[in-house]
Order: sequence, then C-alpha cells, then structure tokens
Amino acid sequence: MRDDRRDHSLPTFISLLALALMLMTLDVRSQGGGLLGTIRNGANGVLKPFQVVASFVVDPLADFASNLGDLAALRAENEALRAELADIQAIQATYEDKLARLDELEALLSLQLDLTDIASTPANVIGRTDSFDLTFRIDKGEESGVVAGNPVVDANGYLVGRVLESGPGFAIVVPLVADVEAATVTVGDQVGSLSGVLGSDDQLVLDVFDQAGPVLAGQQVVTSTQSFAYPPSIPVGEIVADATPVGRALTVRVRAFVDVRSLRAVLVLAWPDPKAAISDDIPTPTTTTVPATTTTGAGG
Amino acid sequence: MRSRQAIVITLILLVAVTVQVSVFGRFRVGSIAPDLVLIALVLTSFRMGPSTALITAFGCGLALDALSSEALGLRAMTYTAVMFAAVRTKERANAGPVATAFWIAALTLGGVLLLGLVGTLFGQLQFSGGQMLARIVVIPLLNLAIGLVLVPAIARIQAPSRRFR
Repeated sequence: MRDDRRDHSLPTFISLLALALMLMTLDVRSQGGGLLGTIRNGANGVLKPFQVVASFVVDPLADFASNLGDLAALRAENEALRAELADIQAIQATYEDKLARLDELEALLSLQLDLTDIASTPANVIGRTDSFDLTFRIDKGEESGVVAGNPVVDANGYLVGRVLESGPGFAIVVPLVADVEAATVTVGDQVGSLSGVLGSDDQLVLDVFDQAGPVLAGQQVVTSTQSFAYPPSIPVGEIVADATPVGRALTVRVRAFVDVRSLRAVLVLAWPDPKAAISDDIPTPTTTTVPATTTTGAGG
Repeated sequence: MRSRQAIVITLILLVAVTVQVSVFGRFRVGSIAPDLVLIALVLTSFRMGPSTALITAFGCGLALDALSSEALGLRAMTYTAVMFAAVRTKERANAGPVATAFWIAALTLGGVLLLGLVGTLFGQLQFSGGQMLARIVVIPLLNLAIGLVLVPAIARIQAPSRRFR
C-alpha cells in the first residue's frame, strides 16, 4: 500500500473527479435506471446481511436509550392518552348506536359498502445512509411483492411515503417529506397538492390552486380519492397555522404525522390494487404476493 | 504483509460503512449523525500511498452513493476531494492525536460543505435552510468528538508498528 514510488495523486485525483462527475450526470439523466441502477441493487444486496445483523444488535440498545431519554415525556403522554381514551370511549358509545342504525338502513336498502382490502407487507427498517439522505432501506423486496411505487405507512396507519426502488431482499423508501413527486391530498373539502420542503425533515407544503378556501391550524390532511399514487383517506399530517387564500390559491405548511428518523417498521401497501388497476386501466407493476408475509386490511 | 494490511484496511472500511448506515441510522444527535466513513478513510490514509488512498476514498463514496437515493458519484467525489486534502496535509496532523482529531474535524467541514454545494448544483440537496446549517456545524463537531475519543487508536495508527505494517 505504501509502494507509490512517484506521487501520481494529482492526475489520479483529477481522473476520479471527472469520473464522479460523469457518473452523477449519467445517473441524474437516466433517473437511476440502466447499468447504474444495477450497480445500486448489487451494492444493496451485498450490504444487506451486515445491516440486518447490525439492526438486530443495535435496535434493542437504541430503544433502551430512547426510552430512558423519553421517560418523563412518556409519563405525560400516558396521562394525556388516558384522558383521550376516556373521551373516545364516550364518543364510541354514541357511534355504536349510529352503527346499529346504519346496519338497519343498509339492510333496508340492500346496500353493500365497497371496502377495499389492501394487501400489505410488514417490513423492518434496516438502514439509512447519512444525515443528508432521508430515504431508508427495508428488509422486504421483490420476493415479497414489494415494487417501486407501493405506498408505505407506519404502524399507526399514517402515510410515510412510497417505495423508490426494489431489489431482491430490500427496497428503498422515499418519505413524502423528501419526495420530488407531490401527493394529491384533501383538507376539509379542498383538494390540493402536497410536496416536501427541501431541507426540512418534517414539514410539507400544501398548494390548493382552484377555488381555495381558508384552512385552520390542526386540520387534518389526508390522501385524496383523486390520488393515483396512494389509497384514499390515509392521514398525512396537519395544518401548521391558520391560512387564507391569496387570490384563488392557497399555500400552507403541513406538519407530517410521521417522524421518519424514528421509524423501525413499516407496512408496504400493494397499491394500486392489481384487480382494480386492470378494471380502471391503470398501469401497474407486476407483483408476486407471498401469503406468508402479507396481511390484509391494514393501513389507511 | 502488504496483503494483510490491505485486508485490515478493507475490514475497517467495511465496518465503518455498516456502522454508518445501521448504527448511526438510529443513534443521532437531533437528526444528524457523524460521518464515520470519512473518519475511517482519513485515518487509514496514513497507511496508504496517495493514489491508493484516493481510489479507496472514491470506492467508499461510491458504495455509500449506491446505498442512498442520491446521484451515484456525489459522495465519491466528496470523499475523493477530502482524501486529496488529507494526503496533502497529513504531515501537519502528526503533531499529536488531538491535532489529528481537529484535522479530521476540519476535513469533515470541508467535506460537508462540498457535499452540500455539489449536491445543490446537481439538484440532489438544498444548500440553504436551518437544517443544512445544523449539519455544517454538527457533523464536524461529532467527528471531532469521535476523533478525540479515538485518541489512543489514532496514536497507535500513527506510530510505526510492525503489526499494522
């Protein structure tokens, strides 16, 4: 290793810089496909076993440290949740009565609700690259039916993002806060476009361009029925501050419900539903469902 | 002997990459993690020739690029540039382990700035906002802290040793 008799470092440096620039240009232009995409898949495949072992060792320690740090906050949260539970139980009692009434009305009208069961694949988060990259890797890939474009939700059913790439035994998930593609969402009765804010880990920006009305802080933002990329009614976040439209358009910040940095496990949804996609003539990637790893009806 | 040294360096870098993407995926200050791969590269540069060190840095950067969603070559370029600065200035860092730790922090600062700048030019990152400023400040400080903790190891690597040769 120390055998460089002459110092060729400057020409080597310049050559490597040129090569890096060429790779970046090619990768940006090919949008991650082709040979460079294959190289990515290969690198992920090689490192996956190491990541799985490291996660197995690190996760319990990280959880322990995290729980110690959050002890005081957890106590306060526990109290708040107890109070919330009491309120919800009271509300549930009223809903039970309404559900019974709904059943009767449906029976009378012979209606059947069109509930769509979405197959989902649970997956563990096994790695993140560095402080600059919000994407993360999960331990399920093509063999589990996970394909690029599949929506990803957390354990609470909140929208995380979508699968960016999928390979054998792994997939890369891009959170909505870091996604270059906007999501179509609904707030109240308004439909808008929700996109990430560069440089922010937890905030998004909502644009409503047509016939916009005012929104209030705390109003929930959910995926829209008009969205092709995500199933409808998945909670995404809440409005940060009251806002009124300027002209006919409204732009407002949204705080995402999901803390991307603390995710340990996620659910990957098989969406668009292959059957629905065929009937609606929506192009869908080929999926392979592995019954042992899929559950139904979760998320969103 | 030479092949043994190459194996040791490869293992160090492999462990650094694995720890970076797994351990520091969970243990972070706020949402910011240190750059362990850069520390490992800079330290192992003491035992490599300049060209070998540059190619190794390029390879490590490329591996991290492949594991990220950003353009392939972004970190390869950054690490190569940092390593070039490292091989040109490593004699000055021989003043002692503490000086080496500060040298690592300075190289990290240069690396973070370059990564932000090149990433912004290629539309991969945003070189503005509080989060970027936090990264520019915190990552070098974290690397400085890790460098100071690794003082004995640094001294051992810097000192001529039959085992590591």
